[in-house]
Amino acid sequence: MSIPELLSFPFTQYALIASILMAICASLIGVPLVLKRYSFMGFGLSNVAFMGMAFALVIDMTNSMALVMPLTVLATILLVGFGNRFKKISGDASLAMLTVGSLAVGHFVINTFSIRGGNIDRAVSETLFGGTRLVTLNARPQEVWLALIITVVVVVLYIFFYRRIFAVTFDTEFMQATGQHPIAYELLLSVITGVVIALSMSLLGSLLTASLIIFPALSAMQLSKTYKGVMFSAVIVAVVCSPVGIFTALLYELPPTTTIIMVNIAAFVFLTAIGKLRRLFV
Amino acid sequence: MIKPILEVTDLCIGYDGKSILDDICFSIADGSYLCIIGENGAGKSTLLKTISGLLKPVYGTMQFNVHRREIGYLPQQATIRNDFPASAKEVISSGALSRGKWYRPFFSKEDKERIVWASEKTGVTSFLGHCFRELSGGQQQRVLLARALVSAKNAVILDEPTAGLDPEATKEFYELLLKINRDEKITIIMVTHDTESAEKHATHILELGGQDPEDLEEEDNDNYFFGTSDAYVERGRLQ
Repeated sequence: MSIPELLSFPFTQYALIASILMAICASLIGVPLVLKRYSFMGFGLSNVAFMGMAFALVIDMTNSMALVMPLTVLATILLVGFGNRFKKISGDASLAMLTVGSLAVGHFVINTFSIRGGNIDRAVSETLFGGTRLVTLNARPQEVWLALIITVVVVVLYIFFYRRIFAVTFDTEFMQATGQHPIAYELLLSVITGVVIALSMSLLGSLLTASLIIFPALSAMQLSKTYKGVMFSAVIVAVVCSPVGIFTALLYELPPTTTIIMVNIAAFVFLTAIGKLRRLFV
Repeated sequence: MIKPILEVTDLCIGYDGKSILDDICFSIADGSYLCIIGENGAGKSTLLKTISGLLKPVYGTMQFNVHRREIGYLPQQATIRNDFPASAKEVISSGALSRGKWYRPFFSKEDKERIVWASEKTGVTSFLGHCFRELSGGQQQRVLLARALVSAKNAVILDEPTAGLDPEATKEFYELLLKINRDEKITIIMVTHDTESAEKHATHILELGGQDPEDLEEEDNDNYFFGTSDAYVERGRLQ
């Protein structure tokens, strides 16, 4: 099949749009997360979202987002906002516990309490790694609409609060000492992060979500030395990698989500090499 | 008498409700240059953090007679990470945030003028577009000072700004501070190790700890010294 033919199928269109929208959102939340040394949080939180999905599946909720989103947002706020305030357990340890614990609880709950028949292992595998073929990539029309709305909201919030997001990433102490409220912007970022991860997890699986948070941000840091430049580059890298991955997967019958990740890894390696060479010769 | 810009009354400072230094009282006039000196562990940084509003006082009051949003702050170097992608201009501009309302997404004309002014004052105009982490230590501190000046109409608080700088850069930085204090009438409140330059530049000195044990035995004497720098030098000569 050729690319135009593939594009005529609604499921290809949904998958393409969903993956590009989530690439924009995830790369936007990824830059502050990586710079604040919360790189691993993307994976931890997508596992929390997975646990939420498991519970939603077991109690047979029709709209699983109603459970997954608040749960993920709550976990983000606890980790970002208050991790430093309870010194009894370090941020590093609590993130590790959350990552491993929620994955285990999710898997346990699905296997123990699921009343629905069907292939549980496949359902688990799909929520974690996305579909193995594009047909099973989870995007449905109403979820694509939701993704579009959320992307617009995220982009508008980022433009509106851009300078404050910079400040809260660069130096919260300065904000506080000059009478501002960094905690309000940390909270805003946490809510955005939680919402995006929950949605992206349900559309693309948790592994791709975590990848879209770290790889474009890290690739962008090889390309640019200013905050604005890194933000822009991250979005561009992510938006280019997703369709490249999807079409490669379609044409060669590869698993789409992990193919997108492969493309992202390749982009990172390529851009790092370019960066190193540029430093050698310039 | 000029109205004091900062009044500290019976202040006890410390962490988590545990006091490490009690009953500090002092006040400084607008336009002063105050150096806080003392041994390591005497509570210099804790006091500065309390003054900047990063820590709550354990007891007592600390009153700024200007709004906190009109004060600039220059943190200890270690708190700024050295792998952060940001241009010098982005760093300086972030100082203007304290001047605007939260619902104003972009800089006003006044903010932009202030940014240009602060960059010129600190002599960083030539490398505004450069990456912050690639600047020398002295240049980085000047950029951070420019950021503080963008937000500060009245006072700048500095936490050991010359730590880690070479002697030449240190000297330049002190001269810059003195110029800003004298020309712009901006109050300087600074923690420093450098007693010698504190004596030379400051109008007032607050020395924490290190008081004569015999003096401390008398009930009324506290474990700190506050006075003009001349009084401090004079006292040093007598001891």
